[in-house]
Parts: sequence; structure tokens; C-alpha cells
Amino acid sequence: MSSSTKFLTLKTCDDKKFVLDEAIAVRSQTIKNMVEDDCVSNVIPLPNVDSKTMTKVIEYWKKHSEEGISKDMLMDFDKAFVKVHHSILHALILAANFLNDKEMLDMMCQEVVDRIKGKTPEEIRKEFDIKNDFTPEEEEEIRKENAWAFE
Amino acid sequence: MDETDQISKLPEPVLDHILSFLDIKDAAKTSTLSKVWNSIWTYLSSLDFGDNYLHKSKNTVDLILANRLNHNISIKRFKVNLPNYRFKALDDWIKVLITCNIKELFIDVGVYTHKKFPEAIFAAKSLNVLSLRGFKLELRSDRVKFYTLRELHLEDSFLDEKLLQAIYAICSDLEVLSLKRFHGLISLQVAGTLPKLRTVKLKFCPPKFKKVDIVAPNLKDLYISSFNLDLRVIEITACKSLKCLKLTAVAVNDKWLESLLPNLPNLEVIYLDHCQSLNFVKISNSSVKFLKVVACSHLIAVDMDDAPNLLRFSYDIRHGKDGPLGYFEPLPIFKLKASRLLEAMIKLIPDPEALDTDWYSKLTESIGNFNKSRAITLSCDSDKVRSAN
Repeated sequence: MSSSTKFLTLKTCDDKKFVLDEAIAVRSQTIKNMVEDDCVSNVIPLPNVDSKTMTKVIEYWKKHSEEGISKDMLMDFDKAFVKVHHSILHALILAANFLNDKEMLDMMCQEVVDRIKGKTPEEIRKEFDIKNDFTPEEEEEIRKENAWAFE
Repeated sequence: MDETDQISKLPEPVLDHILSFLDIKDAAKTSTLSKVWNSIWTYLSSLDFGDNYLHKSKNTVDLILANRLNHNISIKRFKVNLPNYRFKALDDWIKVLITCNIKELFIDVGVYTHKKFPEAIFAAKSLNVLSLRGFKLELRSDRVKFYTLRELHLEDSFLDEKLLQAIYAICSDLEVLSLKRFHGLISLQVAGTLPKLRTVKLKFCPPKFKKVDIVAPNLKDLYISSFNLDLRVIEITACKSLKCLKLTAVAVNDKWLESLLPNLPNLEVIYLDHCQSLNFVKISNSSVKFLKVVACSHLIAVDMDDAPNLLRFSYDIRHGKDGPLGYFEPLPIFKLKASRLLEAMIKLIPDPEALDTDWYSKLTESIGNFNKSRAITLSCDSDKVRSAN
């Protein structure tokens, strides 16, 4: 590693610290803005991200910053990366949203979309443990309003 | 593992973003999941209608738009492939979309239909992206209000000069201008009014289209394909930031190329395809990294002597008088001070009947020029030709 490599320390909401190459950390627009505005003292607090999620985010960032990695390898990595329980997907989306990493956010959102596409409402509820809080009458009403979508 | 519903607890803008990836039918279906999802659907700001949505229930679009209008919702994106018989609805949709501050509009009626696009669109002040296919676009007045337009994509469209002039004058934020299979223009002239312009694509320029004259200091990518010999004048020497230049079937000559290149200090990619008026291609830019030459059948020599940073050179030779393209293409001479980093790719598409010893010795000689390069790939689509290497 060259002597010019700068490191940032990120602190998650559960007080765990992560030391990371600045060049990698600035994949987060939020962190990039802090660095550019010189708001970085010693430690960058990430109040909305826990350490378990941050570990995953950093795993993603490092893989996507690897030199000379092929597109196919990245695709395989991404495919495996998003195959997680929806609670982890939720945490990663929140983190990507807070860190403002559009590429990662879109990839995670796309995974939610893929799990919705072509499924019946009942199947989607099951996939994400969504509780149906409509009365049968309300649900019927909404289904009628959007009848064209169910044809 | 947490088995409770987390996804529904995402912030509303994120859920809106997620539904924006779905086509309208799948998005509408989520309305019955729960109250949260019903609300996200009701306020959804990106409306992507698929291809076949309208056949059964004709008023779907009208109802969805009316709902957005009533709730005062800004519409971020509206995308529709419009069947011909629904064309009349467009006037009303455009009015609603403008009231809802439409930002990105994509409307496709298929191939050119001679249908005039509603003029009301020119009042869309908040429009960032406009992509239309199959329309006639005419400007009667000078009321274009695209103050925030960043991307303009027009395909299979009939355009008028006055409209484009108005766009060049008003849209100072324009970054991408893409015209594909257009009619009605004889030239494209941008005179320094678009400082943010970075991409210009002119694909399948029509006959009688004679001139491209662009002064855009930040233009990075320029693609022109013409397939007619009318397009001879391409003035781009003022585009100092140009990084990528791709020309297909354009009647530019040696002199043009020679006087252009010194003016483009940032040029990295040159792609010349079916440029039949070129005899000598001399690349003398230290910035050039990629050079691709395809089916320039009158080429005699390619001189890369002064292109020290060339990383990849690729050349397609279509050889033989009865070859696939019906013309004889001599093997040009390649000149270069071999860079060790250079990867050369020579693709032969020969007419086996025309091959003789003379041809082979010329080929060997030509390829010998690359003997210090990093790699040479020689490929051939005829099984009668054997690579001697």
C-alpha cells in the first residue's frame, strides 16, 4: 500500500469501530461529503448503522473496489450478496440509503423488486412477513379499484 | 432471525423508489398487501406502463393520472408504449403531467407515425428527460420552456429546425442530445450555448443531412452514423474535451481527420466504420488509447507512429472483390513504433477465391509490424484460410 493511503475510522451505533481506506469509504456519498467539507476529525459516527450491517457493507465495498476483478466475478458476488433474509435486506437498504451509496441501494431495491415480481399478494406477504391489516371488505374495495392489475 | 415485517418499515421515499422499479401492474398489485403499501401505491411518483396494459381497461392511465392530480402528487417519471388507437388520450395526459411537474417523460408510438406530439409539452418547465419515438415535433410559437432539460432522446421522429434552435437557446443544462432515424433536418448546429453538453448521438442521419457543426467545450462523446454520402461537413474542432469519437458511414476525408486530431488533446477512443473516403489514417495524439477501423475499404495505410499510448488497435479486413460487401479491400500498411502495451486485433473476413500467395505475403508483412506488441489476435471467419502464425 502506498504511503499516501489515508484511513478513516467509522463508528457504528453499537460502538464498534471500523478502520477503512478512505478511497473505499468514499463510495458512500455521505462520507465523501464529510471528507470534502473537512468535517472529519478522528472518528466518523454512523448512528443509523449497526456493526453487523456495516460488516456486510464493507465486504461489498471492498469487493467492488478490488483491482482487476472481472464483471462476471462481481455479478456472482452480487448474486450471493443479496440472497439474505428480508430483515437483513431491510438493514442493508437502510444503511445504503443513509450512506447514500446509490449503486448499492439500487441493487438491494432490485432484489426486493425481484421477490415481488410475478407473485400474488398472498405470496408477497409470505415472502416479507407482511401483515394484512385490511378488513376483508377494505381489501375487496382496493382490489376492485385496481381490478385491471389483477386481470 | 427476525420474523416480523421489516420491509414495510422502510422510509416512504425508499418504498417509492422500490416500486419505481416495477411496471405499473406489479406496482398496483402491491396496493392490497397492507395499508402502508396501499398508501405507497397511491402516491407512487414513477409510472411505468408496460406494453399491453391498455387493451382491456382503457381508462386505467386516465384514472391513475387523475388520482395523482387530485392528491397534488408530483410525477417523477411517466413511461408508456402507446398503441395507435389511444393516441387521442395523449393531449389530456400531457396537460395532467405538466400540472404534476413531470420530470422524466418517455412516450413511444412505435415507428414514425406522422402523429404530431401535443404542443403543450413545450411548456413543461420541470422536465429533465424527454424521450419520444415515432412523432412529428413542430414548434409553432417560440414558447419552449424546457429550462431544466438534461436529456433529449428523439427516435423515428420528424423534427423541425426551429424547435432545435429553440432548444439550443433555452436548455442551458442539456447534457445528452440523441437523435436516431430522424427526418426534417439538414444540419445540426450548436454554437456554444450548451456548456454542459457531454454526449451527442446522431444515428442513421437521413439523406440531405449535410452538416454537423458543434461548439461545446465539455462534449465527451460523439457518435455519428449516416449511411448516406451527403454528410461531409463535421466541424468539431472546438470540442476540446472530446474523449470518444465514433463515425459510421460518414464521408469524411484524410484532410479532415488530419486537421481535426491536433485540436482534440483529450481524445482516447477513435472508431471509424465504413468511412469510404479515407485513404490514410494518421493518428498523432498521445491521448489516443483505442483505435478501431472497420470496413474502410479504400484505406491504404494506418499510421500509428505518433500514438505512443495506444493500448488496443483493432482492424476488420473484408477482403476480396466478391466478398460479403462486394468490393475489393486492399490490405493496408500498418505503421507504428510498437508500443509494448499494444494489443492488436485483426479480423479477416476474406473471399477465399481472391486469396493467393501475394495476399498471404502482404498479410505477413502487415502483421509483422506488430511484432513488439503485447498481443496479437488474428481471427478469420473462413475455414479455407489458415493462420500461419
